[in-house]
Amino acid sequence: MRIEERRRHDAPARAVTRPSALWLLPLALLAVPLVTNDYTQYIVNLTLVYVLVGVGFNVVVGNLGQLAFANAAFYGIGAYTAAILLYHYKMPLLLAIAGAGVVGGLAGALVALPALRGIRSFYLAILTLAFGELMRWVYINADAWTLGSMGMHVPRPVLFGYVLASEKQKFYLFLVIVTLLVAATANLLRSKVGRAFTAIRDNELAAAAMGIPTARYTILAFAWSGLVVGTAGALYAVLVRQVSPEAFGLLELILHFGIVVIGGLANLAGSVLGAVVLTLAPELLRDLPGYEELLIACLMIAILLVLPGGLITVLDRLRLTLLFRERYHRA
Amino acid sequence: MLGQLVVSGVAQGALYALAALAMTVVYRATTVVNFGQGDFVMAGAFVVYVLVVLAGTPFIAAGALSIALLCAFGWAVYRGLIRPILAGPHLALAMMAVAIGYALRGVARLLWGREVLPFPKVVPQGSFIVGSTVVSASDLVVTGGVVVTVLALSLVFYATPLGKTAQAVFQSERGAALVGIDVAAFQGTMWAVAAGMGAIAGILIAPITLLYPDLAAATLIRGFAAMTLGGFGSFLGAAVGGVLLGVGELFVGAYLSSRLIEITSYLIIILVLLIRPSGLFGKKITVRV
Amino acid sequence: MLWKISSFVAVALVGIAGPAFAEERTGVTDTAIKVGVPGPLTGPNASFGAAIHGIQAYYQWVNEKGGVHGRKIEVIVGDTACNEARGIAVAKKLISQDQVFLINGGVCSGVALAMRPIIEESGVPWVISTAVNQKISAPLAKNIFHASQTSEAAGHALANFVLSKPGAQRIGIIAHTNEWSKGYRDPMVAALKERGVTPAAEVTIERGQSDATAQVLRLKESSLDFVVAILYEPEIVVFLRDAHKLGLKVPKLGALGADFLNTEKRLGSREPMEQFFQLFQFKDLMDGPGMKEAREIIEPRLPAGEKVTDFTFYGPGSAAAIVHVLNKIGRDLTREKFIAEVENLKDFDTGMLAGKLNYSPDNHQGAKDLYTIGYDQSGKLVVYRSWDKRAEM
Repeated sequence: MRIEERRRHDAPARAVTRPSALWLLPLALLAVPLVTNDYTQYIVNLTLVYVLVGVGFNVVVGNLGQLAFANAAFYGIGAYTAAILLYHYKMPLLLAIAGAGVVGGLAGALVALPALRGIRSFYLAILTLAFGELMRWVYINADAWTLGSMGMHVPRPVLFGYVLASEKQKFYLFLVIVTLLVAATANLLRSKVGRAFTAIRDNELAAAAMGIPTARYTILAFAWSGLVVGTAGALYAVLVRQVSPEAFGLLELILHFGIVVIGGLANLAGSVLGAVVLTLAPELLRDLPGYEELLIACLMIAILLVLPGGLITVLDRLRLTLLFRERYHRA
Repeated sequence: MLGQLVVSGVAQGALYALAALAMTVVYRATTVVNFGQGDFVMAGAFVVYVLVVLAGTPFIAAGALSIALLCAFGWAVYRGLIRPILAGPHLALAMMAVAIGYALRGVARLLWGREVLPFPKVVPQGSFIVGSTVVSASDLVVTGGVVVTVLALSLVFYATPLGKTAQAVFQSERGAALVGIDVAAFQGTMWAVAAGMGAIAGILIAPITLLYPDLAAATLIRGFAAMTLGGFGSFLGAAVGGVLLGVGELFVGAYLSSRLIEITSYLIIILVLLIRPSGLFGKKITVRV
Repeated sequence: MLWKISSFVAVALVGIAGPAFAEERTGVTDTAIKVGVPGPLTGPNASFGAAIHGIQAYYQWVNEKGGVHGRKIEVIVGDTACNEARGIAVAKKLISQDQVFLINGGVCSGVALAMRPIIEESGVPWVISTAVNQKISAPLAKNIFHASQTSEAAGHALANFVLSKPGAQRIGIIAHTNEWSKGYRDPMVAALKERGVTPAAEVTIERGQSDATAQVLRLKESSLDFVVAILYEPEIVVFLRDAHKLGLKVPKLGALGADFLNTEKRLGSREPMEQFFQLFQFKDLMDGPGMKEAREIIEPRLPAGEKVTDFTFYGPGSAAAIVHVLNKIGRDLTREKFIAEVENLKDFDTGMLAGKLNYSPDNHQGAKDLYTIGYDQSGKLVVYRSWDKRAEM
């Protein structure tokens, strides 16, 4: 009994992020289109997009621990890249989405450079905020490509000759892409690279002293974040089919903050949870217009104060409690 | 035209300087950048509106009351929300500041989101001409208001016991605690001061921009640009940076293109941080292990 | 979290288990006609949501009088927060979950453009109440009708008014960089070009900016005959104030982004408003006899504490047209009949909007008339057709 208790204390609260649990979710989700209508399916699709947003953001902000607030910028860069590739160059869908990811990754690497030069903490935050707003100015003024403030209309997505006309059809594409990227991120975080991120976050000098190539891994983290969030932007472009500058400003960034803080910083499952909560909130709070902003802010404050691990820790504690009860009964 | 640009630019820049100064106060006292400062400005203006329009308070009293209320709010925010996590990662502090600002905006939008409210008239409308330059009464009030605030702060900083405490804590928080200074109380006071300055800024800005929940979004970024240009943590830098930014924006708009006004602050932030992160008057940034 | 997801799934299940009406009669029951009303109730553009409340008030009045052929209008409002992703959610919800008979609304042009493909594909009739961008209803879609004046009409109105001033050759523009401003600016510049005039100066000002000194100085340098200011209300106030302060003494013309009298109130004095005109989408001044009936219908039925602005009346004109059409059709109501009957609508006076609504199978943009208001030499507020001609009321 005592030995089991000790193991329980030592076991990190990773239960929900274990491989078996994570793979179950996409398989279960395959059945979702059976029970949704066009509207609810759209909300599910939007949630998937924000899952990627949260997962990508968390890598830099949670795991690496940098105050890189360029997430809305990566999102917009991805969306506009996909829109430009689809609209101006008539590229095939998957290629356009991949292109958005690549450009997002490059943008991420670019944003990593100031971080490498020692710009940290609040300085980095302000720098990346300025970068995001600068990008919005670019979207508005580079109107030969972006069609300016009118926004770009994205043509209907066509996959291998089939038009993805309905939300249900888009869902399968999104599910595959999101699952692949989330799984890849999970692998990355669980590998020595991921552990290096945490080491860098906790004490960069010590990490460097231990032989971790901090510069290389920092760029990698930023680039990966840019790639994932850029891909999310591409999916947004395919989903909403109207990409305009207003959608990628500070209000959008606050939504991204909400996802990672409320879900759980440095926790992959937390990003998923955060995305679900923040996408569903406006729909569920439909009858209380205007409260949603305030509720999200208060939730963020509450979590930062008393539950810094995010709402996901509640789920983990629930699972551990159930586990405890099970073992207790068995004994 | 040059003279006009300078005069109007200084008046605009004074507001940016005020925002930057408030954020510098908080930064020096607690090494936190208050991302919610813009919303303190908005809150101060809204409180005055409520008092004057809904409760019929005369304007001066309403202004004073708003400053006092915001001071109390700033102190409460520090004690209740900032201090508990002050020892933690900077990320949490930044997020907390963002969330506080967002909450203030949420309240404002809930109550008054559907209208753009007129602000009670503060200043006589007139203006007078010096040479070919027009100086409006509002320009004078804003610049004057900011100058008075800065002078008052300087007076407090250099000539009062509170100021001595501030200098001590700014030099070494640990050392100050060791000699018996109540650092927590001091930091709370500084947050109160910054919030009060936000209220002042709100009272000065709102007659110009009118009152709506997103009032201060622009001011926040410009405050950052002013702080960056002047050098993080430097009061003189914040003031000078603000004025330079205000004048710079107008020069860019008049001589280059009005489309570039918006990105002046972004470019200043990016270029300064990449080329000379300590800005004009700031200390060199050291990374503490 | 889990119960929230399951309850959401439950709602979704209910959503698909809806009534199996023939699509033509979806949203119509024995006692009710469901009308979806999308618009921004929250977010930074919530002040334009006044139009939504105006629409709700109008339908409430209709219901108080007994409804339409024994059916009440059941209004289902959807908050878009002026955000494209949310707007699409609202559109899909109204169509697939609430299963409305028709949609009457749309305020933010960007959101309306995003909603267009979805609504067009669904076949649900959409009568645009407020959003201005003419691309929402053009190219022609069978089920989409524009009941407010489009940006195309507004652009032409701006150009016409400006050029109706004798000798007006050098035109300056100050605008935002967003799609709303562009929606006015592009058709206006095209209309000016048709008459051989190119803008002599163009400046921009961002939303939230509190100073227009640089912009006014640039405009002053260009020796202009007229300045067109395509700005929202806070920025119009800033511009007029700075123009007055710095001596930009040319006539100025504004678009449909501000309430004229509110603008004057915020400026605090008459002087900056002299020589300032604004496009006017209504049939009479707010306190004039032409708007009396509309005000009696709408104002008492607004939510408590709601301030009445021009925007309150910028939506219900479309509702009036809809109710008129529903009444004409009678009890046997289908979507096809609705569309056909709107296409038949000629010379319809909404009781609020300037001019009359005119539709045909080829023309779904029914509102082409726009006036202009401004103070005349004697200080009286007047509605103009052109620089020298007043509108007959």
